[in-house]
Amino acid sequence: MAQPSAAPTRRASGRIAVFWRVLRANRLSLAGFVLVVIIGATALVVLAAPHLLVPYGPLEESSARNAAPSWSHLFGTDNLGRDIYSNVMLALPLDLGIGFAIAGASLLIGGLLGLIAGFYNTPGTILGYTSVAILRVTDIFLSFPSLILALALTRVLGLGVGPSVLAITITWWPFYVRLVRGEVLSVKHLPYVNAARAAGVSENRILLRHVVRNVLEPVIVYFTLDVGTVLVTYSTIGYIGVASIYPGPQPEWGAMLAFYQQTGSANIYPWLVLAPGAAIFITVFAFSLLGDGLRDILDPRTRRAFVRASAAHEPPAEAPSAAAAPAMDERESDATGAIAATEARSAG
Amino acid sequence: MTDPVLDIQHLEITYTVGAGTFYAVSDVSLKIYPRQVVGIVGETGCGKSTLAQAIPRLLPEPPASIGSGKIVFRGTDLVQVPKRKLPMVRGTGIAMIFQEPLNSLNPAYRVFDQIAESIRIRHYREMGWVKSFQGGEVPFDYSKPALTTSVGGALTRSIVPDGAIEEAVRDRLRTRSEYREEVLRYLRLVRINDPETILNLYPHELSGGMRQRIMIAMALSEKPSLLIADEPTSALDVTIQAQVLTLMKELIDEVDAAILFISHDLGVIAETADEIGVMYAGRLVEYGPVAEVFRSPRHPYTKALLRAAPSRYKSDGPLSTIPGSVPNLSRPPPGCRFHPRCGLARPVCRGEPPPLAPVDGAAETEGRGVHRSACYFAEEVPGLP
Amino acid sequence: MGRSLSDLFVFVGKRLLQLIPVLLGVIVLTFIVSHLDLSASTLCHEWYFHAGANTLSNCEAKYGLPLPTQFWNYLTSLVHGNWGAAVSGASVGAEIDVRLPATIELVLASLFLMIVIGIPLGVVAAQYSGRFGDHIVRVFYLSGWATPTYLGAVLVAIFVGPWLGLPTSGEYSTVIVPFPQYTHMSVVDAILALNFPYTVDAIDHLILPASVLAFINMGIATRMTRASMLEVLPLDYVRSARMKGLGEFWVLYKHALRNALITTTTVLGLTAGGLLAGTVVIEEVFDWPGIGQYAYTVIGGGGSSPNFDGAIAVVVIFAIAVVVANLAADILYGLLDPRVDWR
Repeated sequence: MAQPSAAPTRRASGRIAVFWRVLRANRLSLAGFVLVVIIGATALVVLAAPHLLVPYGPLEESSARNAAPSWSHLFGTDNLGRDIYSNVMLALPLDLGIGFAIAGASLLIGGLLGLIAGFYNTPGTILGYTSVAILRVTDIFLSFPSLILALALTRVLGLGVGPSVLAITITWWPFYVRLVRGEVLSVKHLPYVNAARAAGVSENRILLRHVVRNVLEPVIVYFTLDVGTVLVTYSTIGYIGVASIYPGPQPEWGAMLAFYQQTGSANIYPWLVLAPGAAIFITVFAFSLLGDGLRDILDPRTRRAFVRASAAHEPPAEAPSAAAAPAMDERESDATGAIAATEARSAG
Repeated sequence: MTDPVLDIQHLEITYTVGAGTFYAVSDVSLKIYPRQVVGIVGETGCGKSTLAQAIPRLLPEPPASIGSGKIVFRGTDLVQVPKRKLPMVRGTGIAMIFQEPLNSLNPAYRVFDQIAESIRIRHYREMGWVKSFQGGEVPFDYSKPALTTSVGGALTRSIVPDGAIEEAVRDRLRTRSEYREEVLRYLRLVRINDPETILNLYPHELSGGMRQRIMIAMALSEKPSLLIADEPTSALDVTIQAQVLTLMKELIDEVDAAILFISHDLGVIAETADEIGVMYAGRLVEYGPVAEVFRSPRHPYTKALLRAAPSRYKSDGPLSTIPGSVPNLSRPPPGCRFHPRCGLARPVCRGEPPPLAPVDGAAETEGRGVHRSACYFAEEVPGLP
Repeated sequence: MGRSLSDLFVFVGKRLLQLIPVLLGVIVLTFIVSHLDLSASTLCHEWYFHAGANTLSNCEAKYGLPLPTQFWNYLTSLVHGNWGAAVSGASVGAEIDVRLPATIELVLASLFLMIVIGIPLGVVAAQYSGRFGDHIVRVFYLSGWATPTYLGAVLVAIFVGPWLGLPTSGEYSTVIVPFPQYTHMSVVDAILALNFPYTVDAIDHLILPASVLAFINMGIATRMTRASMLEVLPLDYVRSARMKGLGEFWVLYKHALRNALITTTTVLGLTAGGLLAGTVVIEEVFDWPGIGQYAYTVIGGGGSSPNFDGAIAVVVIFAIAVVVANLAADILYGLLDPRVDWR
């Protein structure tokens, strides 16, 4: 009596369909999605046609000094009359771009290595040894709190946006290795993949046609959430003062906040720190709202609860859940471990 | 005549999943009297497990919901009991043995802790420390919170009638070794050899049959007035099934509880139950004393089911199957739900659903031991092939 | 089944052995990164600039050696407990001895808050999954998640601290503490000295930095608890617990949470990295004399003078701390889950 059309497999449901199902079921995530779209659109407008949203230049000094927020200066001005709102707006495309650049580069590097480590783990072969080596190096990298390692790296690589982005990327990719490897292991031996194998499909073709396709969805979901996390880490490095110079032609939120806090006027003129602070908070919060809901389908444990709740199938009492076995099997616990590992570094 | 322990009246249960509604249990009425064993049999998905879990209100609501009807347990309609009061009924009032012994014990606690917990619950309730609903004479008092008194308060109150503090304390505060003794007693009751060892083991160190015995011990240790066994043997190996079934049969005589035995296995019901109810697609289609129902079934479905059973009731010829398939419960057929598959079906079967009426013109419509069937043509059933 | 005490020792010992290659890798990586583009001349120029000519030859002698030799020297001195020295000549090891306990105190305090607040919140979120209670809890932990540490710390230090009347700087209200610092953990030392006013003072100073650190990392504990509870709640044994007649509180916290904690523990161990990274900024903002503040200084935050050995030491110590925390979580997992065989 079950409806076959609603079979709750990840493969059967299209990615976009899943995406919408999650958003529909989870109003918080929907709010996050709307926010992310608004933020992204704003960033594009600032890039393409700054005069629409940015009334003053980043270093333009007006006569109103230390002015409180008003209609002419939405977030007030600093001690030289620079418009805080304009600086916050001008920083948006940079911060957002940095978030996407670091997370994207990490996804490419870590994803590729994770695929190798997860798929070609036959002991004794060259690729098998490579896999082991990848995992060991990953373990070592994961032992550093990424912020600390990134900070240390900026000492070596130098100051500025470019080196900081590179430094964070160097510390960031291992998370994707863990994530992708866990996901690969969890799909590698699914019945239909085994069936394809039995039917004589070559390993490389299985990797491309089945494994990559299935791994892509959770990885992209994770990527969404990660952009926010990267932003927090980058702005922390900006705050410590090794990434960006403020005031300057290209403002950055972390550096802005650090500048106004360290020049000591934040107590009297709170908008100086509240404005860039709120900008970071809202941006990251939007990505987190979106990603947190989406992650319910990423995490094997909530994924089950989610599938149970959202898919129309037999009444639960009549259909004892096969997934209820208390001991997680190895593949699944691997995926959980990966999630846990990636989860644990969110703070910056 | 004694009052029934459980009196289910016109119970309707639906599941709302997405946009669809499943009519899992429709218009089921059932009475169970003290020390009686009632068996419910039916195919997978006929609503018998839903029925079993609905009695102690264990179904997750939502998606399940009790549309109408009453579940009267010892004079109280459980459908009306607020959610936070329900624990009072469970355990000492209604206990349950589940289908999946493998997952029904908490993997983090030792056998001793889990059985002792059940005994402690009963003990606290017997002492009046915790409000409960077990004895039929005690009505529900909704105005009072579940936890009526503190331990100290209960002690002081108890001193007054007896007057002996030492005795009260000894009576009330049990030591671990006393709990141990009682746990051992129940482990022996379910015929576990070497209970001293089993006591200290974790569930994952036990076999399926062993775990089910412990589940049974746990249920019995609360001394319930109604015990629901929801397919207690289905998940076990055949040999273990037989052992557990034998145990259940022996215990039925020893235990002072009414028993509702749910199974898809006619043989199991035949060996254990006094009366049997046959469910099909959410409805009770036939009810009566086991011997009578097995000897002369009065519903076409029961007859077909007996013919399809691979066993001792019919020794020769090939097994028969029932033509057609179980209806989709989100769109059940109108009238008698069996009519699309029935050899006796006539236009009237598509109208009003047939009531569960006494067969052979028995005048009495209520009470025990009356053979009833929900078929307009119950007299013609014996003539079916 | 091997779950006797001796099996436990084997269990712990095995995991300790597995640490060695990871730690070695950490040290090698740190060493390589820190020596990556520093030639002896540039480094010693800096050194000369800060410390004067008399140490220049020493410096060139030390950093002029080939890299493997330098590494070997570093490793041997490390094995002997020598972490090197700053340009000013201050011993790195002495700083670490004093500062590490302060940081451990801060991290344990916030871990405590994460456990007593974050885990029950996760249970509540799972209990009301998809409903209002769930949404509230998620907004709460996601706000922590989305707050950069420095932002939270700065806002609390500037606005919340004065408002609540809590101190926002240092471990005690006075610089001169009238009792010996045996452990270098402010609260513990005050308790050991049986000095009640100082104990209260030390706790007051700990509240804000620990709360900020906990708030920012709360999401990890809450989210994991919520996820594990969502996994556990539909299981049969939770239903059996309910059927025993237990109230919902005991069903949730005794039966379901006990099992959900098994996975949450692992993740809490993994949060050590996040907590430690958080201390860098938090200790700087709250002037907490811990290793995070030291890291901020030696890595060059706020334009301080460079401290080459200090930077390596800090990175290695942070990595060791993460590895040890993971080990602790691993052992705790083995203790919590009776199905884990220790042999």
